[in-house]
Amino acid sequence: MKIKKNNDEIESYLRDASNLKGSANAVYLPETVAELQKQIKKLYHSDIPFSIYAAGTGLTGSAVAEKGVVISMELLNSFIEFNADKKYLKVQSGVRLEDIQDFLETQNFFYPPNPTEKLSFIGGNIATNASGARTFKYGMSRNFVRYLKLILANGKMLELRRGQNLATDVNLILYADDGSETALVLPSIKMPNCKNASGYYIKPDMDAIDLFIGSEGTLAAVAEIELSVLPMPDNIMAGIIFFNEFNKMLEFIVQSRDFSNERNKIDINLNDKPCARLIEYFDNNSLEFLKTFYSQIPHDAIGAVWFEQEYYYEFENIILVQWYELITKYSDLADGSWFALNETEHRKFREFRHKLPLTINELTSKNIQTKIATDTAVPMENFEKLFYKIHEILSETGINTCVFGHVGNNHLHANFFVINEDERKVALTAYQKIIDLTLELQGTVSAEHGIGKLKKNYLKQMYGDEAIQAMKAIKRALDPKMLINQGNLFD
Amino acid sequence: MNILVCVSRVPDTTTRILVGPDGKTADKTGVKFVLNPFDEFALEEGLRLREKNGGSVTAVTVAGEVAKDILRTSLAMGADKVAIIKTENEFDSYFTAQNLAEFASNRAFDIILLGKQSIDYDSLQIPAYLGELLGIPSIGVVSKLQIEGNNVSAERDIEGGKEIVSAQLPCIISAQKGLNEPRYPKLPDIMKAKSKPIEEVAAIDCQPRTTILEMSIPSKKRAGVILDGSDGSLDKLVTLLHEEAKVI
Ligand SMILES: Cc1cc2nc3c(=O)[nH]c(=O)nc-3n(C[C@H](O)[C@H](O)[C@H](O)COP(=O)(O)OP(=O)(O)OC[C@H]3O[C@@H](n4cnc5c(N)ncnc54)[C@H](O)[C@@H]3O)c2cc1C
Repeated sequence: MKIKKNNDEIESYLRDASNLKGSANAVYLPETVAELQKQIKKLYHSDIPFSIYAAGTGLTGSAVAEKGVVISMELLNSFIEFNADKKYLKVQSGVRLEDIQDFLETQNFFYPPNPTEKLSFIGGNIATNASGARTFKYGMSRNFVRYLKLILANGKMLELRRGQNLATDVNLILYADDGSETALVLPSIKMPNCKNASGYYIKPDMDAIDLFIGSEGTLAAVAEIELSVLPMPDNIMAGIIFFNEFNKMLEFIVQSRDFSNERNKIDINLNDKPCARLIEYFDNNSLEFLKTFYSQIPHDAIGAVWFEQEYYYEFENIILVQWYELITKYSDLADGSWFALNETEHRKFREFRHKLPLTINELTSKNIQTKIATDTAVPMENFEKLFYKIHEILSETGINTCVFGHVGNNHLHANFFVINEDERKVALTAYQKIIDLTLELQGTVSAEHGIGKLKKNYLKQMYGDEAIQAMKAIKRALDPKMLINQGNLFD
Repeated sequence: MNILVCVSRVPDTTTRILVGPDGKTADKTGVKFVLNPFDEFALEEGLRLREKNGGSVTAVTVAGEVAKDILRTSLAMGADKVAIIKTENEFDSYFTAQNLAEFASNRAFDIILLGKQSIDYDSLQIPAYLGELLGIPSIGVVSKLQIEGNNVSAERDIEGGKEIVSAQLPCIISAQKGLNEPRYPKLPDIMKAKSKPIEEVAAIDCQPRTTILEMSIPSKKRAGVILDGSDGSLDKLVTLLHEEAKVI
C-alpha cells in the first residue's frame, strides 16, 4: 500500500470541488480490498478517525477530512466482471464513471444514471447516490446497484445483494463476514416524495443495501460494486430548444415532463410520439454564461430546454414532426433551436450542458469563494411554484446568479456568484429563502449533491432534531467510535 | 458561387477501434460512424461563403451505400445538393482523389473545401492530390479564410506559427479546427433534408496505388515512475535516466 505524508503530496486530498479545506496527517492508498480492510482495522484499533476520498468532485465537502487520516480509493480501480447476458458490470469502487461508460460503449451497453461529472468515481456516486440528466427516465444511482462489498468501521466485511437482506417492518439485521450481527431498529422518518440525496434512506421493509447507498461514507467504505447496465438504445434524438417567453417555457416543461412520464412506460419500439428521457433547463443568465463559448445561441432567447429521446428508427419522422409542432406552439424560436440525430452532435449537446457547472465552478474559484448553490427538488405537483418563486427570489437579490437543472425531476440548481462578504450575506439569505420555500413545498434540501459538511443545518431543518438523532444512532450502531467520515451529515 | 465540399464518414471519435480477423481492416461491429469532424469546418465555411456570395453548396463523398447518413447530416446543416460516388470495395486516398477530381472536373466549381484530414486513415493526401489532378492551387490546414472577388487569402497553421498565403479562385482549401464554429442543425432543415434526393454516381475504375498489409493497435505506453521530491530521489532519477531510459 502506498502512503503519502508530505504536505505538498497530501494537499490535493484535503479539498473537494466545493473548495472547503480540511486537515489530515497522512493519505493511505490501498491497492487491494484486503489492504483496505487491514488498514481500516488498524485505524479502528488505534481510534484514528478516517475520511474516504474518491475523486474529490463532491460539492459539499463530504470527502474533506477534518482530522485523522485519508483513505484514497484511487488505486482500487479494476474492472472485475462484465456479463452481457445478465446485464451487469462488477467493478472496484475507484473506477472512474468515464471509464465505465467508455468500456460499456465498446460492448454496446450503457450505465443509465449519468452524473454530469464524468471524472467522479463510481464509489463516490454510490456514496452520494448521485444522479444525472437521465435520472428522469431511469432513476438515481440507487436503482442500478445490485450488490455492494462494504468494509465497516471496525474492519469487518459486509456483503449485500439486493433483495437478499430486507428489513422486517422496522427491524433490520446486518450480518458481517465473521458471523457477527448488528441489529437496527429503523426510526420512522418521512422521506420526501421526490428525488432525494439528503440523509439516510430509511423505510419500513427496506433493503439493507439502500441504507448504505447515499450514506456519504458515514457507515462503511464501499469496496466493490455490481451495477445493472442496459443495452444501448439504437437511436437517440435530441434538441436544445430556445424560448422567448417565460410562462410558455414553463408550460412546455410541465407538458413534456408529464407526457414523457407516461410514455416512458411504453416499449420504445411501440412509441411513435415525443417522449423525453431527460429534460434539462437553462435560465437566461445560464445562457449568458454559455454565449461566451457558443455564438449560435439566439439573441432573443430567455431560456432553453435540452431533451433527449430514445426511439425506434421507423418512427423518426413522425416523432420529429410532432416535436416541431409542439415546440412552435410554445416558442417563437423553434426554427433557431438546435437538433441532433447523431453521436457527434449529442456529445456537443452534453458538453454544452457540462460547460455550465464547469464555468460556474471556475468563476467561483476565481472569486476565491466557496460555491453557493441550491440543490433542491419538490414533488411534481409543487414544481411550478418552486420554479416561479426561485426566479423571483434570485432577481430580488440584485447579485449575479443563474438557475439551471433537472426540471424533468422537478429539481433546480440556483447559483450565486458573490465577490465580497456583503454579497455573500445577501446570497445566504436568498439561499435560506429557497430552502424554506422547498420545505414548505414538501421537497428536499439536497436532491443529488448530498449534505456533506456544508449543508448539515439544512438537513436538520428538513427532518428535525429527533430524526437527526435517530440517524446518528444508526451510525453509532455501525461505527461506535464514530470514526468514518466524521463531520458528514451531522455533528 | 459554386461550392463543393468533400466529406467522409469516419468512426466516432470516442469509439475504441479493434482490428478485424484479417489483420488488415478495422472491425466495424458496434462502431458508430459520423461526419468527419474536420469536414464539418469545411462544410460550415462553404455555407458561410454561400450566405455571403449566393450560389450553392454540394457535398460529395466517395463511399459505400452506408455513407448516405453523413450526406443527410450535410443536408441538415444546409448543403443544397449531395452526391455519393459509390464503391463497395476497400480503396485508398489516390482512388478517392481520382474520383473526386472526375466528379469536379466538368461541374465548374469555384472552390473545393475539405477537412484537413479524415480522422480514420489520416493520410492527409487528398487536398494535394486534388490540386494536382485538377491543376488548381491547393492550400492546406487553413484556420482563417478571406475571399474578395477571385482573390483568396488564407491563414495556415504551421509549426510554431502562422503563414498567410494568397491564391486565385478556383482553388482547394483544407480546413483546420478553429476555421469557424460549425452550426447546429435546425429542425426544419433536418425535415427538409429527409426529402431531398441523393445523386448517385458510379465510381470510375482506377487502380489504388497502395495496399494495406497489416493493421495493429499500438502497444500500451509504459507506466510512468513517480519520484518524491527528496534528495535521494535525485540520484535515483539520474540512475533511471541513464540505465532505463538510456538518455544520459
Ligand atoms: C462540474 C460538476 C458537475 C457535477 N454534476 C453532478 C451531477 O450531475 N449529479 C450529481 O449527483 N453530482 C454531481 N456533481 C457532484 C459530484 O460529482 C458527485 O457528488 C459525485 O458522486 C462525487 O464523486 P467523487 O468520486 O468525486 O466522490 P468524492 O467527492 O471524493 O466523495 C464524495 C463522498 O463519497 C464518499 N465516498 C467516496 N467513495 C467512497 C467509497 N468507496 N466508500 C465510501 N464512501 C465513499 C466520500 O467520503 C464523500 O463523503 C458534480 C460536481 C461537479 C464538480
